[in-house]
Amino acid sequence: MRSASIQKKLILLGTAVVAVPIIISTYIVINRIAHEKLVRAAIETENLSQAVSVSVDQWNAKLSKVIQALAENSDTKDIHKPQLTSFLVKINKIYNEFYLVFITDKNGIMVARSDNNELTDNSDRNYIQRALRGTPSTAEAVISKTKKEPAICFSSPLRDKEDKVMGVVVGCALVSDFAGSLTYLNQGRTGRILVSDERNRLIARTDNKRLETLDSQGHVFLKKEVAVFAHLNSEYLDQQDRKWIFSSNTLKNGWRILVERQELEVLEPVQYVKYISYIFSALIIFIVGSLLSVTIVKILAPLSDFTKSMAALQRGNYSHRVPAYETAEFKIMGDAFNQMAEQIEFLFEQNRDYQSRLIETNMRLENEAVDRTQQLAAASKMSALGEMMGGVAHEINTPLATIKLITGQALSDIQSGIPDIDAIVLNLQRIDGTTDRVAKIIKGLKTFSRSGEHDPMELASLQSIIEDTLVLSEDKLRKHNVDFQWEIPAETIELVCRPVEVSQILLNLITNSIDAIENHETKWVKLTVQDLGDSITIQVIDSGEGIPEELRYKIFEPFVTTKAIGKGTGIGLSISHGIARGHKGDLYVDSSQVNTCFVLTLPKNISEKVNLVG
Amino acid sequence: MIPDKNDPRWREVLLNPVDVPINNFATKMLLTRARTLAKTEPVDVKLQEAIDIAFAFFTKNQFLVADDIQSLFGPVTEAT
Repeated sequence: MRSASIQKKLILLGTAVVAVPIIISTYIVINRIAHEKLVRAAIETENLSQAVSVSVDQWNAKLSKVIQALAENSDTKDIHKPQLTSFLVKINKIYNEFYLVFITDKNGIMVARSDNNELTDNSDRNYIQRALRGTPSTAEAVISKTKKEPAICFSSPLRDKEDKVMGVVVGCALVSDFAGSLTYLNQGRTGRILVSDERNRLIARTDNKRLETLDSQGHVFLKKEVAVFAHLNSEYLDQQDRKWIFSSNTLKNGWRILVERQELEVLEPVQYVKYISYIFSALIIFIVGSLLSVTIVKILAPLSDFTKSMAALQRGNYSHRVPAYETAEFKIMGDAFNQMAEQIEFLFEQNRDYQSRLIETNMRLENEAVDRTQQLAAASKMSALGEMMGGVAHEINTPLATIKLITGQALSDIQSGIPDIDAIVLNLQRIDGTTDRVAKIIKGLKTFSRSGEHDPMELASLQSIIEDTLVLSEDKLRKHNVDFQWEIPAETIELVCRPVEVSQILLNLITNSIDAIENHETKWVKLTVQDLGDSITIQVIDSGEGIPEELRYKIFEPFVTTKAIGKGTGIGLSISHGIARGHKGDLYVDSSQVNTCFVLTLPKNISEKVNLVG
Repeated sequence: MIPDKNDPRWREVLLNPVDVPINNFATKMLLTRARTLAKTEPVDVKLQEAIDIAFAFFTKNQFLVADDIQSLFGPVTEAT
């Protein structure tokens, strides 16, 4: 189905032409969107990191305000004054940022606290020690004794007028409050914000996971992932085969900030876009393909009709026609096809008529040819016989003259009135004997003139057959002054054959030779016989120059003759060839000889089968 | 007249031929073959075979080759 193939190809091609740009453009758009998402996420992350830095700085700034307030209030210069505590309470109420603000002396002993609880000795705390050494701002994650939850303490040295450290001011904030502010910053975004202290311990995170557990001293144990936090270890991230977007920012107090975002999270909206795009693309391709299929099938439908019509013509259904089409091109093609089909149908019918007439004529001609061939074969034979009749007539004429003479004597004797009975009887006996002689001659002629094809195969002497043939050829050879030569084995060669038919072949060959050399100066015919054991070969050679090559094979076909018009029937060699084949032998021209040479080969013992066929 | 097969003339014709005129090629062919055969061994057997062949030929064709028969065996007196 060639048209179906074209349809499929066109549909595939059309769909591909539409689908490929859609797929490519969808891919490009999605990647572009993803890229932009990632870039935007990176910018957001950086901004978020900056915002967190600012937030942390704000906490330190709050503590600085507390310290500044202390400095500005001359009553609180002496950290041992009892009214300091009430001042801290007042200050803390004003700012209301820390759940606890307390002051230590230069030994780290708590001297005042904003919640009026028991003053404790916090001198062993690192953030106190560092502040006493003059470090401007430190913090440490601990578990609040009063709140019983993680807290971070912002510590700052408290200096006198000579700028000597006379104590430490500490502002304690709950981690939850601190993380709450980070969560507020992170609202509306994916990912999480992680914050570690200067000792790389995680002090805040926005994903609501627990940060730590407490040790016996109230310190925070950090989770494993936080242990690598300080290093911002990309190796760790790669080992997990996860992609992260992060931004690290180290604050003045040694804190680190990590904004962690997973690529999949960032690209999650893009995934939806991707899926939708894919579905949309597939939908478009399906719709376009369907439309193309319908359109192309409709356009190319006539081609399918043409293909079917061609096949119908090929099968011999010449009455098949294609329908009329509206499309101009197909209409022209359809009209042309139908006209062609009509012509083929007409020619086919005409041809069939001619063929049937031809068959009838052939049969008639074949029958006529068979009749004519039989007639010609008989005529040919009778013609050869006729040529021999001259000599035979002489043989018959002599006894007839004898009969007439004797009859005359007998009549004369009877008419004399004194008949000599003895003499009359003697004359009648002579007439009887002479009549027998004529009868035998005629019998010999009859033997040859009849058809031998129905004779049974019999064992016969080849030499006898040749001698009999030669007897019949004698007169013609002599009349044309032809010298006859022979080479024949003395030992009798016996073969199974139809003697009359073999004689007919030899007579035909000898007669042909005599005719062929009629006008030659040197005229001879030679007959040779070779005994080959299982077969015999007879050569009939004459003084002619041979058979032209173009006639060498045609000469055995019926009605082919080299003789003058009216002299030969052209059937003799054909019949002889047929007889030779009927004997499982062959008759051919030996072109290797200088002179004209016909060769007859015959098997000595012909099979029973051939006998039956023959 | 064709002599009987036991006639000594056959032996003479085949073994000691006399130069007599022979008109027919068929007779010449027959005599050539019969004389050759008669001289082959064993002579007695082959001579008889040659006589049989020649006798059959002349008997079959006695009227067509009558002149040759006359040349070989003398004038034909009566048809038998």
